[in-house]
Amino acid sequence: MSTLSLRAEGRRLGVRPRTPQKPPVSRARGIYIHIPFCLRRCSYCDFASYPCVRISDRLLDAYLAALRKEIQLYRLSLSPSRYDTLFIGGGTPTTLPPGELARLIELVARIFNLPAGAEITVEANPDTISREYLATLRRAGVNRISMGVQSTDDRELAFLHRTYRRRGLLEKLSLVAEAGFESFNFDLIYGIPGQTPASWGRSLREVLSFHPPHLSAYQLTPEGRTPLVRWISKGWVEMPDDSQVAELTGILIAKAESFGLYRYEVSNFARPGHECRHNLKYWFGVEYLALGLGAYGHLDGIRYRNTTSLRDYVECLSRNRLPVAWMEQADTERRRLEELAVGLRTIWGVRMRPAEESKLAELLGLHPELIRYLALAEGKLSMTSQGLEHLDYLASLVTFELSRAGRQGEIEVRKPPSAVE
Amino acid sequence: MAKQAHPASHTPQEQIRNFCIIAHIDHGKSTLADRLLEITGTLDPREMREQVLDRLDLERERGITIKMQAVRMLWEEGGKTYELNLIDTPGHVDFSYEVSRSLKACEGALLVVDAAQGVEAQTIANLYLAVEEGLEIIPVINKIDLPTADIPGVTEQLTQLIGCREDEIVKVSAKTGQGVEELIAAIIRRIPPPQGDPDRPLRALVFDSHYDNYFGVVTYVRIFEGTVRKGDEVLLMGSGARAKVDRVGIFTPELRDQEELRAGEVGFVMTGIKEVRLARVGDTLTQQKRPASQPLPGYRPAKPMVFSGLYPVNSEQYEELKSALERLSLNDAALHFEQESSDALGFGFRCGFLGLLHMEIVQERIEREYGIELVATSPSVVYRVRLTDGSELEIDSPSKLPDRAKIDQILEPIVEATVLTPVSYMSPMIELIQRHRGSLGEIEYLPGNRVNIHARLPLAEILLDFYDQLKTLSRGMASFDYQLAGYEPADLVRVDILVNREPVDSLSFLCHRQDAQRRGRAVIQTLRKVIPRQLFEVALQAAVGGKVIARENIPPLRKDVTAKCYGGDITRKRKLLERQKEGKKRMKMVGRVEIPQEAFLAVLKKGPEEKRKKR
Repeated sequence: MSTLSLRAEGRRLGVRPRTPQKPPVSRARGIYIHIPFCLRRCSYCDFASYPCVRISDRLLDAYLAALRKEIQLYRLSLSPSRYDTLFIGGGTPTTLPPGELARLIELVARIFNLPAGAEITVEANPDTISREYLATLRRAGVNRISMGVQSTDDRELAFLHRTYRRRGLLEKLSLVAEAGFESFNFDLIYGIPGQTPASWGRSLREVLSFHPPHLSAYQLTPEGRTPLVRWISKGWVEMPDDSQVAELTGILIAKAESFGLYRYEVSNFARPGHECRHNLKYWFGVEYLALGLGAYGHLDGIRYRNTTSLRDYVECLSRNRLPVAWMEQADTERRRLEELAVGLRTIWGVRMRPAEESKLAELLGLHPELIRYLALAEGKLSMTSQGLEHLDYLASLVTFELSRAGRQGEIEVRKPPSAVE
Repeated sequence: MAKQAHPASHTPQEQIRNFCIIAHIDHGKSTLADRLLEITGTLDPREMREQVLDRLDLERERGITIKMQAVRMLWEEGGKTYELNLIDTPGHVDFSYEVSRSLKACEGALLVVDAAQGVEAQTIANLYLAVEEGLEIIPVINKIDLPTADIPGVTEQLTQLIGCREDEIVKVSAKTGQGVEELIAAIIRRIPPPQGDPDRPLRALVFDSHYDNYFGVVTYVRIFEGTVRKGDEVLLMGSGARAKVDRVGIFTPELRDQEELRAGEVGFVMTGIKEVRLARVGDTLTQQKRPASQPLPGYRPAKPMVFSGLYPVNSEQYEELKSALERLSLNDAALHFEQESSDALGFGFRCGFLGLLHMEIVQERIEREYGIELVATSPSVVYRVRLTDGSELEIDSPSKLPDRAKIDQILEPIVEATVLTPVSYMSPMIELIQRHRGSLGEIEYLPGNRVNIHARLPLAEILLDFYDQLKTLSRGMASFDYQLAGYEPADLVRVDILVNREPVDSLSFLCHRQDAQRRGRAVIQTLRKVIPRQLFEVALQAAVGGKVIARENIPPLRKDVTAKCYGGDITRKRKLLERQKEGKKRMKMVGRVEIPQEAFLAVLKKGPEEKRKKR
């Protein structure tokens, strides 16, 4: 396919012909804190989370005390390092009283020496915030709010087991937009059973009308032991097929684009300069400290996960032990796979070594139709906008090709181990 | 009557009885053999393993006998010591040639029928073989102790079948030993002694052989004329192999050395020969110095009729599979194999078998005894192709079919089959036969409301699901047997499977023209289900000689990316990618279409529904 027709394809799909510059990724570490409490568990959620109604104040206090203990233990055990992002996620962090969140942020900032410009994000849920709540967070140094909106359609919200409805939702969005944070994000979900191009378009339009500098749009993915998975297995619910979801994706990209948000990762859109700095660390191999129940971290070349049992977590820390339940030191090959697995999800792609580059050039030579999906330029491999839609297939193709010792034409010529007499 | 030790001297010919047992599977042949060994004192009850004659575990488990053995028993009656040689026969017609050779070594046969089950198709087939060989038949009803025994009914079946008198039927329970002594008496009284002059040139029939790691090939022989001694220079008249006799002896059932074997006797001969092929069942052993003028009639080299590709699931086990096949073929002259490679399955072997049972036994032994997990491709037959230039060639794989323009005619192997069924299932059985391109022959009405349906069918038609359907349609009541009956011309075509217009060699197959569309469609429908959707539309076609007879499309995948929220859990992403990448290894590119190995397997492999139950 010629460059000319590629451009035409790009225009037709409403995709920017040029990739925005990759924002600078700081090498300083990030910090993630998990708050595992929610008003209610969503029907699709597979993260560590406990509904608040089942949590006594005492247990909540015990959790926060354990979290503070965890912070102190890391202060003692970690070699000095720079940190410049803090992301408090969940669960729903804003189920905590705002003062508790402020105390936590203050403690982390002090212990880990967060600099003045650090990105501090708190995830929020529409029915846990108020003008005052947001003001308290802002005073505590929070400069980015990420609000889980998911949809503005009542049927979809009910299906997802969200606790709020359309009525009042838009006011909450405007509270966030007007609270004076440097940046804010709205989360949406698409591919919900029953969702139509029209209802999805309306959710997008309404959410984008507040001009968020950042938008995350995730595809509903059944997994784990969630009600959604159970409904599907019982045949009560049918997930939309790939062509329906592809249509929704098209709407998403076009709408985001028209509000000045460019797609910089499969599920993330931002105004240039408003890319989530914390997430960029995940995607570009920068390490991060993880605190709290079930949190995933990456320190000194080791990936780890905390226990997902609330009781174990509290008990472990009460005995001054880190609540790490799993860890893994990845070898070079695995680390490379990680780089590809997440790096190719961004529009900036992954830098190729010269040997890798020539293998891929050969692949593209044999299958010129792949040029529609893969871009190999200036020593980097990235996905075209079409490519991002087929990333699972293409990433496995690319990693498979890179792992092959050599190519001998299209079909590998294999010699029998030995001939039969 | 008394139990006796084996004497060193020869038993006079008139005191020798050579006989075999004909029975359907599960009708108690092995148990009866055990009881005979025990009652004659040949084996101590202490050293009796259950069913000693069935040597292999697999045989024991499946209740069938694959390799024949022979055993000498001694019995004293009326002041004379009789030598009773029981020659074991395989129970299935895949081995009908072997059966016929072992029958030839005998003068009489016990026809054993289960008192509850009655006569089965297989029993009848073997009975006819025995009658053709001129054997004295002693009908035996076994399992008379069973509560479900129908002795009058089975008696009627037997009298009709072999035209015997009711009082000629011996009724036994091999399990309890009831009636077994009477049976021995009947063997001595009714089966004629062997004949043959021990001073004439040697003619010994090889009726079985096995490979021994230390001694090489051990041949099991029946001496018809002459005498064979240790140290003799011998010649196998069929294969032309020459050797020196290292040992001769008898079976007790362990091997016991003797000085010589004389006309009428049954025993073993060991030579230095290392390949069973050179001492094949049916061959005639004679002396080099004083050879017989004619070999014994009926020698036939083993000829495989059913072919299947065997591939190791784990391609690294190729060498192990090769050595397993080599070892099995040491003992199995009928097993043929040659290396072949398939785009889809890698390296393996095209193997030839006598029939379906033989094929299954070999596959199971490889899996069980050698621990190699196998992929077996659907069995196929050998076709004969007459070319326009008058020459003829045999092909066992569709890829070997010559150019259409050069083909004058294709011939396929035909079997003569009998289906024995209760009258109530007669019409579904006839439909089944006709659906498999069979032509009906005679229908015999048998006592007990049963019919024996004779039919001619293409061998290819009974390879896949015929037996299963027979059992299903008759609720397990019908039984089936077949014998090869030559080749007949047939309107056969090669069906090619094309993926995006490129033929996939390993998926082509031969079939009758009238079935081409149905079977071609079935293949591409299977492929449609198992080939994952791709970046591009995939066209699947079945074609005969360039003409498309069926097609299906796999629409392209419009979206294939996980777009869920995964936070800092990078490991999960990596693992997903690792799995996807591993999956690629089992893909084969046809043009630009990726076909997973599972897709080939789904088409090529014998489906579970095609795997037959224990026969």
